[in-house]
Amino acid sequence: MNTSTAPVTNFKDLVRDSRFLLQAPLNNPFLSSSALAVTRLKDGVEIEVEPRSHEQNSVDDVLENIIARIRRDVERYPESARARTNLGLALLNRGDATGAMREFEIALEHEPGDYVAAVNLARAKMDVGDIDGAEILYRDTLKHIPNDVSSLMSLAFIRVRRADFEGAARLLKEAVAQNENAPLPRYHLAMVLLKVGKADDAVAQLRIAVRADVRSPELYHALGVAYTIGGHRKRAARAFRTALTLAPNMVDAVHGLALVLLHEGEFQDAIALLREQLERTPDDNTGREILARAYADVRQYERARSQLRQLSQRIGSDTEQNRAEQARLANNIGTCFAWEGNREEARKSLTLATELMPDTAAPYVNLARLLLSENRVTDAVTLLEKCNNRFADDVTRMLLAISYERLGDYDRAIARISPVVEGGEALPWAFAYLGGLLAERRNDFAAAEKVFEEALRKYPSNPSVINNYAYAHLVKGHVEEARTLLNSLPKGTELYPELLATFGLLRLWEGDLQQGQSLYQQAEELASSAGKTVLARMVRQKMHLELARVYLRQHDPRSAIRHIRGGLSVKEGRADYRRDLQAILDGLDNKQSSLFPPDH
Amino acid sequence: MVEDRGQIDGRFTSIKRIQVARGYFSLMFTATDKTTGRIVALKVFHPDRRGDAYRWACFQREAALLQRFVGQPDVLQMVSGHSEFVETLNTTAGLAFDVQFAYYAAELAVSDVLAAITAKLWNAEQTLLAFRAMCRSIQRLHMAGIVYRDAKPENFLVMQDGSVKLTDLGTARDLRDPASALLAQYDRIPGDIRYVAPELFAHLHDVDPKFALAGDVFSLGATLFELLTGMQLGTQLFGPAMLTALRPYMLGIDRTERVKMFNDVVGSIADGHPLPDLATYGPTTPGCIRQRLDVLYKSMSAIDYRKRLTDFSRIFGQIDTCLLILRNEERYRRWREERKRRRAAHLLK
Repeated sequence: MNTSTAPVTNFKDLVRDSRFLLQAPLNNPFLSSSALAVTRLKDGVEIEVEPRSHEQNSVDDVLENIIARIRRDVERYPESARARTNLGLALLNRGDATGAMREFEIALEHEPGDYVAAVNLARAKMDVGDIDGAEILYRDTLKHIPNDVSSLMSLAFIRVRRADFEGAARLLKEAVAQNENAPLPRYHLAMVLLKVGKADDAVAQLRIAVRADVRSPELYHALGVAYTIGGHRKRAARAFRTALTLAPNMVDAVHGLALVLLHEGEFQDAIALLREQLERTPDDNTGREILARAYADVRQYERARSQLRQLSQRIGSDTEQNRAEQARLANNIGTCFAWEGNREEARKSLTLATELMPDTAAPYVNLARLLLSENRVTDAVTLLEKCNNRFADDVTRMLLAISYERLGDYDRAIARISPVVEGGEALPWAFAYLGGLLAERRNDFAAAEKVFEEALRKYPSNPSVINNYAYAHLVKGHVEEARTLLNSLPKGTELYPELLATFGLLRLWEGDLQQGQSLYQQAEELASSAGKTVLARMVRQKMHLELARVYLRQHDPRSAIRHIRGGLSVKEGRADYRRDLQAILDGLDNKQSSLFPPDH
Repeated sequence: MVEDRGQIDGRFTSIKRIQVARGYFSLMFTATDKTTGRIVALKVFHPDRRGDAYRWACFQREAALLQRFVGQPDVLQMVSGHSEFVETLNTTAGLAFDVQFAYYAAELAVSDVLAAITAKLWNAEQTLLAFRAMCRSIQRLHMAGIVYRDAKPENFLVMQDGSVKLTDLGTARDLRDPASALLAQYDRIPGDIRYVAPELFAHLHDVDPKFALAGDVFSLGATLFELLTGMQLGTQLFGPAMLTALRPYMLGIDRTERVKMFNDVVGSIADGHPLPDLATYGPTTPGCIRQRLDVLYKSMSAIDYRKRLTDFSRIFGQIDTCLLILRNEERYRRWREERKRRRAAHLLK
């Protein structure tokens, strides 16, 4: 079984390693002023509006002062739409949407055509969730000022909130058509295009936008994000660097560039960039967290932990949100310990994370991963079953399936993973894993094929799906189909241990035992160099198993037995592989042991 | 009580109270100046506010500074300097109290710029001419070594002849006179917070009062924004996000570290809070100069004071260019089209 998608040794789910924060390039005060957080997921792009925070004390004092002064204006000019609108805006800043709406409505009573009051009233309605009311107002404004760009963009935002991205894109294209040189509608259109998976189209829009406004760091930053999402990291790095040339203190661009550098493996550059940034702005928590990740990537776990601890000290634990952050940091500190091989400390930190946020699945899942990495599969199953009863999330089910598979309980493994796939929203790895299980463990290639075909329909070029489908074909001896599938891998696909192992198996089936074995050994080295020792052992075990099978097919039991013994000698390997090896050996023992004395 | 007096100092007669909005610390009157026959304004310090040392100092400073600008254009002209008179107050119990009034007389305005904005009195050209006068008045103060620190539409008066003049110099400070500093116990940000520059939120003017020079230009930029859109820039800009970014630098930082610490962050604060585009406020500004005015106001109100346009000759140059375009809109349009054609032809060669 090729568990290429099983995240057994991946501890870093909670490090937000592909999250970018974007500010709109030009401030249109009639649109939402919140920043957008763009996160690259395995199967798409998530775009969230960052919540605006209302800080207290001195901020409130200033806001109250502003409101008091504007109230004097209103006293002086009670019938002025201008004064009322200013007051409404100030109230909106203080978070008093109801009071703001009242002022905007009075302004509109005095001056029914007042554009600023109308669009701000609509914006306030959006803020309080009265989307329908806001839509009516924007449509009214469009009647008075046809093709008003702010209203078109706001109507597009309403479409986005209703998940009608095509409609949003249509409206934003209308806004773009009003002024081909205006960067803001293009920026928002690019965001919608990113959301619907059209990263290249988003890049095209942003490239036009940066030509229209060559000095906007926000646009270059957004272009960098779009390039990153589209997989063009070198260009992304250039765009982020341009943003930083224009605005050397642009924190979000520093984060973006650092993340790209990390993905490119330029760890030291990323570390230097982030350290410089943190010297300038020690309060940059996100930067500190990325720096921690960078240190972890170069295996400087102590430094990584130190950064995470500093972060932990900066964040209180007075609010629910802060406690969640503390739990996340404890989880990541535990992850560092685990990577370092310090399982005891890892366990302490992960346990602390579970105590801080008992209602979050991730620390439990990571504890289970820790148990799996120690080959304490039964303990992992006990923990994961508890976790599944509470959270029933896909990752837990996946790990449960893997654990049951290791215990040889394939029916339970399939029973746990099937609901994930049947849910309709499964990620590629779930399809790939179930298909692999069905093909190899149930020997039900027809069912496996159905799962893989569905997966390919959803994720046509996903390496995990292709890899496991090819592997399933190889289990059945379908060499040609496996080769065709592996040849369909997208250009530039990153080679990871499991994929290399499947290529090795293909070569074995093709009869090139030397290259097949060599590819398995490369896979093992790759896993080892990434610190995935358990995976490395599994790959070696699997290599011996497959070589034993090949030699058996070639009627060379002596060589087969040599590899069976090689596989069985792997310490802490997989129980199911061990069983398979033992089964072959037992079969050989029964038939031929007298003919082939054991090697010494 | 003051209106009941037949005259003040034997010079001002026919005294009438002018209603001013709540929150002012002076009483305003009109009176006839017997020496010229003109109606003038009397600014009388509210006797109840004598206990407020800061306000009293402001009143005295304003009178002294206005005196220095007598005979100069763009600043409200003083008719007679700081003087005092005593009025006896008879209580119902038969007791009599002497109440001391301080006042000065100045030329009478018809209105102020805020009223002109509210009533939408001015077209684009009148707006630019008024704004140029406002800039000139602040420049005049700066050249005299004075920072104004309270520039806003309300503090520019509209005179009978339509000219615009600066008034209310109570918050101003003479940079050459150490005694002119704010009283030590008064640690609030000077001026109207809706027009105050971000570096004054960080109290950089306490480290070096010259920071207020660029602060005045910020306030002028905010005033231009209001003249063009009717909306207050500070209300748009100083929302929770901006104030939260500024908050750590508002108070409690040692004077020796304050400028360095603010300089370290002001760039990123500015990057994170772009100023609003004039174009988003609908057709309030003529299209032919909208872009230029957008650039002008943004340069003057740049959040990062180090990038702010503080050179008045360049500010006047840009205002004059806008006026020239406005007065020759059709010719300017034809010139632009011709230039576009020439460029296209050049590219095709």
